[in-house]
This record gives sequence, structure tokens and C-alpha cells, in this order.
Amino acid sequence: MTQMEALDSLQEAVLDGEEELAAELAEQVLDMDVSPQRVLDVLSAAADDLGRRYESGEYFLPELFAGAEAMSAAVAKVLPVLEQSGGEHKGTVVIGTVEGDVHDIGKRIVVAMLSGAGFRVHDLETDVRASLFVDKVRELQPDIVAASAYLTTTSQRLPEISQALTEAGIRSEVMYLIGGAAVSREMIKSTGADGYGENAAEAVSVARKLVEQIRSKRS
Amino acid sequence: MIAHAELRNRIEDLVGRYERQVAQQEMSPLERAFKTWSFQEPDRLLGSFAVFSPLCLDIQEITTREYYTDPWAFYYIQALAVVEWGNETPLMYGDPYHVEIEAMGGEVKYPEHSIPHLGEPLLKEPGDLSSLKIPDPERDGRMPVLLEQSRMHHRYLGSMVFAPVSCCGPFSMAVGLRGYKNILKDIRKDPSFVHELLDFCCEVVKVYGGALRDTHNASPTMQEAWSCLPNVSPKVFHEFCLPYITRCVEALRNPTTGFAGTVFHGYGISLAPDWRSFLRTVCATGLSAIPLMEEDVHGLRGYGQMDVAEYKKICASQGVVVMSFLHTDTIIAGPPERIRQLVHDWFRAAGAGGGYTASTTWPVGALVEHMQAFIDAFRECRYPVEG
Repeated sequence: MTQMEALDSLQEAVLDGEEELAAELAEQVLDMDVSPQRVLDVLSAAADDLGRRYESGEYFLPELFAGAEAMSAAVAKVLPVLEQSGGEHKGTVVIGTVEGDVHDIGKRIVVAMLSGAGFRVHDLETDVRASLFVDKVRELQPDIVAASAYLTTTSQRLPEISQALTEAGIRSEVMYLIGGAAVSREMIKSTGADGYGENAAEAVSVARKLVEQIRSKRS
Repeated sequence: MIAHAELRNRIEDLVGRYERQVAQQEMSPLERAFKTWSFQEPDRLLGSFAVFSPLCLDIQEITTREYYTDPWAFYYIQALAVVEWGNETPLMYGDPYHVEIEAMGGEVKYPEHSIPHLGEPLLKEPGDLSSLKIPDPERDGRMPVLLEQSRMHHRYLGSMVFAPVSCCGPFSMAVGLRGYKNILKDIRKDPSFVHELLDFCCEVVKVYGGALRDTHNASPTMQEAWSCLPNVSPKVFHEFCLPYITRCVEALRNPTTGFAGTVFHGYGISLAPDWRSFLRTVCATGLSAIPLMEEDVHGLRGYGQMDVAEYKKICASQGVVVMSFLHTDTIIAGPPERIRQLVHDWFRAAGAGGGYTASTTWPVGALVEHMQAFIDAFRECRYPVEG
């Protein structure tokens, strides 16, 4: 198999949701001396394709979820090699579901899509207190804090994260992205957020813009 | 926390007030519901809203945890919603996706101020299915609590207002037992296990749903969010959801009223490649009512768009009542005029001939005037429907 054929097969494995195969193929292409950045570019294209197919109605959640899991499995093979080679990430994201909320399917898809798109993602999992987001921002200095809520009861927690960052004096150092089933675009202002992703594909494109904004602000 | 004796006093006081209120109405909400569900035109539109936490009504003296575990606390809040806010279909359930799982030994966590949630999936491996037992509704987990709530309704407000009971539908129960990620893998790698699991879930639905139905002659609403698009594809729906839902709907038919089980399976119909055909297929399961979600009408959150009048026409032709639902985003965002307008517009499009209700969920933190606009609006929608 040529490098190009292997990369095509990797992309196809992600789109088919073949988790084990995607991980194997990622290892194979790295063994063929394809640069980790090149592999991530292919995965990023696959992430965009997954998002497009979902938005167009060709894919439903099972296909998107399986694709995201396959993407995560492949990214897990690529990231250590990328780190070793000193390659750059598109940005760093700290992500979690708000306190009191344990829904994680949507967030898992967003994590996979962001990782596939070249972001370094620190997943704090579910039921995350605002104070933990603050601690992780101090520790990891990410470009973005992303929080999701899936219940109207727990969406009330979203403003707490922005407030906690403000009280810690680090709100201006990071962008705040929100999403989830109980969250809407209209809530950007009331939650003190900088952006909203209606679905995983939009979360990735908004994240790209937010990274540009925070980096130009920093420079 | 409020003592049971005090809750009992408050409930009895509410019942007395409601009897006086209903006596002054043209028709009781129960009569309104019966006419609506029989495709006759009542005096006006039947309206309801779901209350999933005491915080919705700004009640601070009962925690959400108490609400979900104490039948007195739960029923008091539902009675308040009926008597003080005019809810015409109080729900005798709050977290219908957890009750059966917990009764079979699954872990459910109860946060103080949020809705309960499931712990790790009970079925770690397909082989674990053989150790599961059909729960006893009078003994296991919170099933006795849910049965008691329903019996309380029968004692207190049941002669004046209809209150649906609810159980988890077979596919959603399978997801709860196995976990979404695992069930998707099982569908790909071990479909025969998924069918075996769904057979088991159907038996649980029949036993628990039957016990709920018999508390006050009402067929349960089967909650089936996991079997809705886009959570499953149409292909998965047809093989793994539809046959089992159909089986349960018929099994829960009420011999007294003739109504079959209702299935809370509405959202996502707009995402089907041919939504009209998909809707006809869902209606053909024999269910008595189906939701029409605002996201499917206005294309919210990536959903498609369907015509309200056409949706009603298809459902009515198969004898299925349409329960329209305004999205919580709409209730949160307002303004009151828009909420009122939507209720009126949809009533004009789909209200004629009965078989149509207006609903929403009361979102925690929503402005009271937004909810009041919804309540006022359904009360203003009188039959016959004006052009």
C-alpha cells in the first residue's frame, strides 16, 4: 500500500466508524514515515466530511458517533508522535460538561472533532465545577474553555464559569465556548460566553475563529 | 423539607380550591381531555406543561432530590402546577428513563438540585443479560413510589384532570441498560444480542407499564427519545425500534378506554428522508398520541421543517392525537407576544376537529411572564376554530 492509499484508507475508516481499523491505519501511516501533521490534516478533512454528512442528513447520530470514536482512536496514535516531533497544535481547549450534568455523548463528539481538527483537547469529562475550569486554565493556559449543558436545570451553571474566570482575574486570557442540548445561540450574552456551537461541526469552526481572536489579542 | 402531614394538608387545600375552580368552568380539564382524545371539539384547547423540578415554580422548600424520591413532595408540586398555574395534564413522572433500570439494580444518582441520572451501564457485557430479572413493580427501586404518585392522583385530582403515567420504551431501556456507545457497537457487531435484549425490555414494559395503567385506567406514555432521529438512523429504527414499540403499544392497550399506549416519539421526524411516510409508519404502530416538536416545525437546532396542518392531517387520518410542544428556547427567549402568537397560529392550523393539544416544558429560570403567556394563550384558543 502506498502512503496515499493508506491515508485514503484511514479517512475511509473514520467515515465508516471503524474504530480499531482507524487506530491500526494511523499507526501504519506513521510507520510509513508520513508526518504526524499530514495525518492530522487527513483526519481534519475527515472531521469536516463527517460534519457535512451529518448536516446534510446523509449521516445520523450513530454514524457521527462511530466516526468520532474512530477519529479519537486515530488521533490518540498521532498525538504522541506530534508532540515528540515538536509539531504545533491549532489551539488548546479545556472542555467539560457543567456541574450536575453527566451527559457526555455530544461532548465526546466535539472532543473527537476538535482533536481531529488539530486542537489539543483536555477533556475534564462530566459534572465539572466552575472552580476546576479555573484551575485548569491556570495550569494549562488554553486558548478556549468549552462547556456544555444538556438540561435546562444545569444550563444555569454556564454563567458561573465565566464569573469564576473573571473573579480569578483570568477571563481575558481565554475564550469561552458553549454548547449542548439545553443551550442556544441567544444564551451567549447571558452566560458571558464568546461563542456557541450548535453542533460539533460548528463548534470546530467557531473554535478556529476564537483561537484567531485570542491570539491576535495576545499579540 | 416539608413534613408529610403538612404536604397532605396543602394538597387537600389545593383539591378544595380546584373543585371550586372547576365548578365554574364550562367543562372540566378531564372532560376536555377526553373529548380532545376522542377527536371531538371541546370548549377550548387543552394545554399543559411539564414541571421537572420544584425550581420551575420557584419552590425552594423542596429539593429536586426530594421531588424525585418522595411521592408526597412530587404530587404537591404537580397539584400546585394544576391549581395555581392551570396545568391541564400534570405528569405523574419526572425521569422515566431511569426507573426500570434502577429497579433492575442499576445505579441512579440523585443530585440535590438537578434531575437524577444513571451511573455506569448495568450490562457491562452482553452475557450479563442472563442475570437480569423482570422487576416487581410493587417492590423494586422507585417503582412503588411512581405507582403511589399515580394512586394519589386518583384519590385527589383524578376526577377533574387527566394525568398520564409513563414508562420507558423498549429501545430507550436497552440504551439505558447497555449505554449508547455500546448499543451502537452491538448493533454493528452483535445484532442478535440486541434483539434478545429488546425482547427482554418488552417484557419489562409490559409488566411495569401494565401496573401503571391499572392504577387509574390510563395507558402509559412510553418514553422513546433514544429511538428518535437523529439518535438512530431510519435503518436502525426500522429493525431495532419499530417492531418492539409496536408490540408494546398494543400490549398496553387499556381494555376500559380502548386507548393504546402513547409513545413520546416525535422529534426528528423532520429529519427522515420522507417525513410524511416516516410519520405514517410511526402512527401505524397503533399509538394513541404523538408529539409535534417545535424544532421539527421551525427547523431549530439543525432539524428540518414540517407543516403543522399537514402533520395533523396525517395523524388524524390514522386516529392519532397530536400533542404540540413549544421548545424551551422559545419559552426562555420570549417575548410573550411571540409565544402567544405561536400557540394561536398552530391552533388555527391544527386544532379543528379536536385531536390536538398544546404543551411545553417549564424551563428553570424562564421568566414567569413567558410561561404565563403560554398559559393565557391556550386558554384563549376556543372552539370552533376561527379561520
